[in-house]
Amino acid sequence: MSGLAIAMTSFNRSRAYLLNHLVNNLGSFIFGYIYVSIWKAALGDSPETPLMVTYIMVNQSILWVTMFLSRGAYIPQKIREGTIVFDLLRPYGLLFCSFFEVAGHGLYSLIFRAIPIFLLGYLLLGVSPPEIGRLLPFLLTLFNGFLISFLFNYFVGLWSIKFLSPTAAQGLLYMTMNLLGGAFLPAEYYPGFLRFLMPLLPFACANYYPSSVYLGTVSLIRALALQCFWIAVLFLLALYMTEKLTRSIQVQGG
Amino acid sequence: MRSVIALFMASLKAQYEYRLNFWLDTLINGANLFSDFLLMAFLMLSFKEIGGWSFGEIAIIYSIVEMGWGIFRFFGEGLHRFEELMVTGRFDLLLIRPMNTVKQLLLERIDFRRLGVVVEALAVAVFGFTASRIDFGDMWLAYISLVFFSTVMTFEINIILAAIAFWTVRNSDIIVLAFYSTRTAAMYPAHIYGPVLKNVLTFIVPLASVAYFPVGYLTGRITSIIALISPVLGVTALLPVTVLIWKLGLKHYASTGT
Amino acid sequence: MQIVNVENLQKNYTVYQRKGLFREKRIIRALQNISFTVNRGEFLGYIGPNGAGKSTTIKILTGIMTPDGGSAIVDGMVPYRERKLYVRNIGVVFGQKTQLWWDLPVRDTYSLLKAIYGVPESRFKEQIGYLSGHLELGEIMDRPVRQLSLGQRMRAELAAALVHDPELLFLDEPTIGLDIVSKHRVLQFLRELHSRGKTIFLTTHDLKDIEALCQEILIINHGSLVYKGTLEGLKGMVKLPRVLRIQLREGAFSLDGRCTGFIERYAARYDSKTGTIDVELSDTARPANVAREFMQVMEIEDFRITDPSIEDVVRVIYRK
Repeated sequence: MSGLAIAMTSFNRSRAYLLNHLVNNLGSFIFGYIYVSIWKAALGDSPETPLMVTYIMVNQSILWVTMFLSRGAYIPQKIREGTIVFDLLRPYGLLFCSFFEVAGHGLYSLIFRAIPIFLLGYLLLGVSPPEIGRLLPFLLTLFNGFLISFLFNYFVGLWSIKFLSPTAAQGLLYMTMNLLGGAFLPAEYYPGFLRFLMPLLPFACANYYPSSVYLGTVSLIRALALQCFWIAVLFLLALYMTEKLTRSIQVQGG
Repeated sequence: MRSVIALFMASLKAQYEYRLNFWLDTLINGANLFSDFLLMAFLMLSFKEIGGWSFGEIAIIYSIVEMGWGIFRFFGEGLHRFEELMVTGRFDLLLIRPMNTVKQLLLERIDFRRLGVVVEALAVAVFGFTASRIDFGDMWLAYISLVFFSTVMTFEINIILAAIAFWTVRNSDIIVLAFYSTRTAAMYPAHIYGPVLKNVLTFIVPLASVAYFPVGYLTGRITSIIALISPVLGVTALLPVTVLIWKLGLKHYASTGT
Repeated sequence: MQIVNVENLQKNYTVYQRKGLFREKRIIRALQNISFTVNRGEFLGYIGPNGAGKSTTIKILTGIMTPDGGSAIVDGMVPYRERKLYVRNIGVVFGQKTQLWWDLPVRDTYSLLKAIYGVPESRFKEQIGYLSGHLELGEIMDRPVRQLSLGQRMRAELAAALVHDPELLFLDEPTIGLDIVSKHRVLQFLRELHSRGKTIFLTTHDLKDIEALCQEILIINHGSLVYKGTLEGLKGMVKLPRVLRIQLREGAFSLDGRCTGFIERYAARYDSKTGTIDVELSDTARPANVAREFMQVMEIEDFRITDPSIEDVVRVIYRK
């Protein structure tokens, strides 16, 4: 199956849960509302308030594309069900088909989760729509954020091939993304040296950069540079580890 | 009860067998929630107050809600995974036994890994009391009683949410919508929210009555005496609702199966 | 002495089906005026095609479900009305779902059940010893349930239903998916339980099990009781003939006039592929006469007479 076919299958598979997801979107919106309320209470009547409202809600919308993507790129599930062998035996490798599978779901999330949640934010919380000039840059950084999140999820998946239980790695990933992804707190509010360090780490590429580009608080060049750097590093790492793991499995016989 | 002790020992043995995984999961459980708290801490470094409440005070209500949640997940895993029993039809096997079904759900499993949440919530409380410079003596008594009410209320709410599965079979989405969001909201002072959410937290999913209101009274921010007794009011008001909905659900299940 | 008395039991299900843009409401009559009685100490086989109403009946008799009409009285109680009191005296095994605690060793499930049912320590020890001996649980007592094979799990499941030593047992497909050895052990044990005076209600699709164990058979189809009685009675009722199968000697397949005449006279069926001739025996086609004839007329390798299998009989019943 070509990559696109894999993606479309994944997309359609996610569609089966549309109703559940729409209900879930309400939940996401409410979480956004909670965070917005906290920020409003903190900032008061500052000119920064509408900016933070937008920042939070944009992040809430894209979280389904950049953070809650899939558990270990579906790999732990495949291991449990035993279907992992099929992916390992295919000529184009685990990374390839995992990517397209997650991409299909990512596209679904973009259309049926991100956009509805964003619309709710726009209608009910006064989220500012993107300036035309920034829309394309935002989408570009969003795509990069998706790539990075996918790669991290993929690493969790590889971990589960080796150690069977993904919970620890999954939990660690979630915690780090939560703490350093910038969904709730932009880099400017981190204390001390973290203010300098956080935007340099790959986690910030998932939420902080896309939302900041949306708002215009971070230049596109800077965002792209960091994202592309980390994508390259993580991608090469993923290739290397996949190769190593596949070879060791071929030797052991799974 | 003998059965609780039997389950306790058996579960402890079983879960402790996978020692490494056990400690890792416990740690991760606690650390995850701690990361949320840490983000709040960072925020509070820049702003001294949220809605007039200091960070210490927020930490206290944060901890009370968290403790209720942690203790619930410790005993109430069966309730939390009620949907599974409905989907597989395993609930029938509980009806075959001469014991109250809710009691049996509490006997399904004891999840020791949730202790990570309890420890983290306790740490947050210690921080909160120190930071807000509240007198330790009486406050710990108040804290423990509020944790008690918080736990009871968390159980009540989750029994109601579980009962929904009697009608809809799958209830996980409702739980996320109705509970996860309100629980998170209750960890912060309720007056920062608009009237809709505030009223939900006070009257419908009344978690504000076990944390925000009583703590607000004890720190002098809320003056009405009702705020002090609101935990009792909230838990008692919810009790008949809980019993009624569960019984109605059982009746519906007995008449239609799944 | 009656232990189960079911009268005019009715149960309807409302099903919603999507028809175009609307939802169509359909009422399925799962049980239509079912009546029967079961005596104490009986081993009853309960069969019927899928969707016939078997599970519904079992659910009502175990107190899980309330009927829409009619009554069911078991051991002097109405199951669905006094559930907690009633279930103290029944044991249930559902073939597809387990009541064992998944992560715990088998032994711990029994301890938990002991506490739930309030079984005194001495009785408990005795019962576990008995169950462990007959079901060979020794090897699996300390293993977590999730590590057990299906056969092991089913034995443990059966024991779990008996921890409190109930008088009445409901078994819903207890042998499904079991290998031959495990199945044999389970059936052997059921026989032992029956000899001890237990009343057993066995639902299964495996008719050989029914044949081996049950005195009474209850057949349900489309929500109605189609038959209640003994196996012999059933075979007599359906009147499927015994079949005499003649295996022709190899090479003797080309039939001459005398053979074809025989086949025509008895309306026999000839299968050229297997070289067999099947003759339905009846009053006009007695086995002795038929045998004498074909031995004169053909060169045979072997022959045998088969009784109608219970599967054949039941198939006829299901079709009605």
